[in-house]
Amino acid sequence: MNDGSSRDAMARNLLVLVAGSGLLIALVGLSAIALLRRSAERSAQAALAVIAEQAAGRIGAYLSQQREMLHAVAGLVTGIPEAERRLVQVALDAPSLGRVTLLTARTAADRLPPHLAPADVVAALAGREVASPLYFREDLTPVMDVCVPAGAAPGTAVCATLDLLELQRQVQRIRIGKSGFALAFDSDGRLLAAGAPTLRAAVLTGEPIAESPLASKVARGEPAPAEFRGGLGEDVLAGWARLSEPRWTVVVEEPTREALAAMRNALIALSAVAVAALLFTVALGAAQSRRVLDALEIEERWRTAGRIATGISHDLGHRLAILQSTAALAEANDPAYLPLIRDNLRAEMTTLKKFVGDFADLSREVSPDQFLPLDLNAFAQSVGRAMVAHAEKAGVQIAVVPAADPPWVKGDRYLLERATLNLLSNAIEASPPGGEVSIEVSQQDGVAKLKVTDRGPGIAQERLPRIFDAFKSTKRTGAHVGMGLPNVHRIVTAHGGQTAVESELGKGSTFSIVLPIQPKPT
Amino acid sequence: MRRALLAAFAVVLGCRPSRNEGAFRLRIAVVGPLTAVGPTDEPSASGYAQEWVFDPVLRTASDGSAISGLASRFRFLNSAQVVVELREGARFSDGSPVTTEDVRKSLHESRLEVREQSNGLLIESPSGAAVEPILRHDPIYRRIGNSYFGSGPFRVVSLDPEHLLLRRVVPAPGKIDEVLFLGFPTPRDPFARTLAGDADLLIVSDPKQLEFFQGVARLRIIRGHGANAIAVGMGLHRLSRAARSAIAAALPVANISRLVFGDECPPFPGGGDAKTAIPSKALDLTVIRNDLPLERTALAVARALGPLAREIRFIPVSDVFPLLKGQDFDLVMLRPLVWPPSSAALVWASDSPFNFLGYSNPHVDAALKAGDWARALQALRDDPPVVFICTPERLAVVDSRVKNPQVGPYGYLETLPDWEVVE
Repeated sequence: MNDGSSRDAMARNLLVLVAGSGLLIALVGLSAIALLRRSAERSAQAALAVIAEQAAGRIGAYLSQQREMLHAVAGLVTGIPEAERRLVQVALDAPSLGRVTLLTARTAADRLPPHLAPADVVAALAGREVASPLYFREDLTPVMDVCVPAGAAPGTAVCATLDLLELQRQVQRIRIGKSGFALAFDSDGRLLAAGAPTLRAAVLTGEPIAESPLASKVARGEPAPAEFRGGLGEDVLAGWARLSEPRWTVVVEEPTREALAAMRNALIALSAVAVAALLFTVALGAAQSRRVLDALEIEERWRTAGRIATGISHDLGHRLAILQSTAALAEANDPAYLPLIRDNLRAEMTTLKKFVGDFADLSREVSPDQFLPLDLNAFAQSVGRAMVAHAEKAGVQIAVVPAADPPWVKGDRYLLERATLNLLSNAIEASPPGGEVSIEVSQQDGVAKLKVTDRGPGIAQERLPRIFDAFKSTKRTGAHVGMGLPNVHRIVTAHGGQTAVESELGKGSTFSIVLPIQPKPT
Repeated sequence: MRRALLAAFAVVLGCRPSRNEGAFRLRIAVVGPLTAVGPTDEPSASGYAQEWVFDPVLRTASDGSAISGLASRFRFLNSAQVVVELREGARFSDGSPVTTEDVRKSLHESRLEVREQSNGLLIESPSGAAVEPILRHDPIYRRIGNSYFGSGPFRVVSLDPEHLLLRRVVPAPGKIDEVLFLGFPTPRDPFARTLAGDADLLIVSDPKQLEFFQGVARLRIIRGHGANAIAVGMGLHRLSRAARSAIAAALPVANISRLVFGDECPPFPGGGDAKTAIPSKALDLTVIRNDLPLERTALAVARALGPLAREIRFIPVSDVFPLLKGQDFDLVMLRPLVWPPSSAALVWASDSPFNFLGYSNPHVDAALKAGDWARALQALRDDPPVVFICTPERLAVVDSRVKNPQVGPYGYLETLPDWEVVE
């Protein structure tokens, strides 16, 4: 019994060790995954920001180039009548400037650049460069009215309708991975160009999209969010860039699942390798542990055999000494010794019978399919009666205290009797002459309990934890090799029950057999 | 038991697929308002549906030749007379058969006469005009009250200014079952709604607009040769034949085409020499406002004419027909029908209702009546009412589930009833 507990404890320890190791590895792995993910996110965001900067740079360069072209055209303006005629023709040579017109104080209202605010018209005539917001011409070309001062004609300006289809092209050309794209916004967060086809409708309608409020914040100089739920309803990583004039923003987005796909695949592969390594280690550890446990079991068997041999040789040696002295008395042929010789032989026969009986009990198998219903009250009274003679011989009284409602259990009556008799025998032996041993039956919480109590010297507390272990008897005199209580424990546990002991030095001990309660047979 | 059986029967009936279950509906985004589909109604985007609701007597093959329409067989006796056999069992969408009287009434406005003969119907033009272009163009219909019924594969189911629903008269598995026109107030809306996935087909008038559809996997771009040319119309009252011929000789067609369209628009052959002297006073140029290709054409023409060109005048679309009718212009940028070649009879014949410029040239008329399109074009070149610049492609974007979409050879979407869809 001791061997089994030891092995269970070792197995438990091993399990705890493996689980602990696994937990530790998992924690380290999860931390590594989190770190790797963060690192991958940062590098993806940095790459997206670079692309956004490049796109913003290209858009800015395109706008600057158009403005420079317009300035060059405006620089050629000398006389107004001729200029108007010539400027109209610029659209053919520089299609991106759209319709180029001359703006003077006398320009009719219906000929003013349509989307230029009145204040901007005044500013343009005063010699400042002005621009309207982006808008769509009737033919759906995205355009922006821009006016620059006319070179040699004070109080006049040259205005163009800048064709910003190139802005669409620049933004639509940007593809990140499978489905990453770019978006451009004005300072109010209005979508100007979209790489994502389904968002292009918002370019035309002016409807805000999920990124619009973020874009207007970025345009105001607030920090750019690098991760958010995008206009297509998917979590994205993003890189932002701002143009200084006009104050447009460009964001380059890539779905998070896609941006981190490579990292995730690497982690999955890494995790698979780690799990495989862990499983291999556990399997190897388990195999090694099994071998060690087997070796320990063999060693423990030999130790047990040694303890049995020690006990048997001690007890049989004692018996042999008594039998030798009895034989010496018999050789004396003195009739006066006959009563002593008879008593010795009877006592030794009883002791040896019990010795053999204990061993026989050890070898008897407990077979649950042979269990029968048992009234524990009646059983206790029967066992008590069987021990009355033995108790009276020791000057001890046996008292049976039945339960108010007879509890029924199921079991091998012979084995349960052997177990109970063992406890009673021990209690009687431990009781002083004139003492009392009680057998109390009770039931509570679905279990039946049979308690055997003596008022003997008690058992030291340090012995109690191992009292049901084999060959650990507290009695070192007489025929006791410590087989009784282990046998009781074996029988009771085989019945699905438990054993327990309470003891106090100088006051006595109580041994309990606890069995599952059964319904009363009908 | 009987009640249970009835209930089970009702469930089975309820579970039967409805007629329209799995029907393929193609949504077309257009600029509204939508009007009734009929042969004489005012022009609107509903006109695209006319070719599916009404059959003309003849249709147009991709090479420009005439093929069977409502006529299963036809034989030209001369350019002004043809004998046709109507398609056997041809019926209007209300189920009534197509009769000789229906054909006669339908062609009456085009001044064609229809007579029954033993070998079919004799259709002829008493004036000797070529009948082929008219028979390609005029739909055959029956009018009942204010409703027009056609014998085409589709019929009108419902109409309001924003929606026009057409359904196939006889179901055709694997093809488009229903067409829903969605009319929007501005040109921007059809684009936006198509991009947003609310429409499946969009007519695109400018190649630049295709930029929006790059990378849109849900849609495919289709192209086809155009039937209308970019042209410079010349005022017949203001400009003499000599002046018009000189202008035609002076305008560098290929250069203008390249300046306006790059390589997107194949120029007409020939073209002029900008150095040719033009016996005319300074010319004004008129162009439809917001038609960018025409506007750029006007700029290019003005450049070619040099000092002879005066200011460019922009007018709204609604003013174009009054302008042409009043001949109150020197040069006007137009998009006349030029394909198939026989369509010249519609546009340039003196007595054609579609001769909006009011051009009249006996040599052209004679060639057209003779069905000699090449000679008619040559006569046009000798006394030119217009200078043809180039013929832009027709463009559209269509849902990718349509397997074989193509721009029609004559009507923009006339092949739609034959388009197959992914089932």
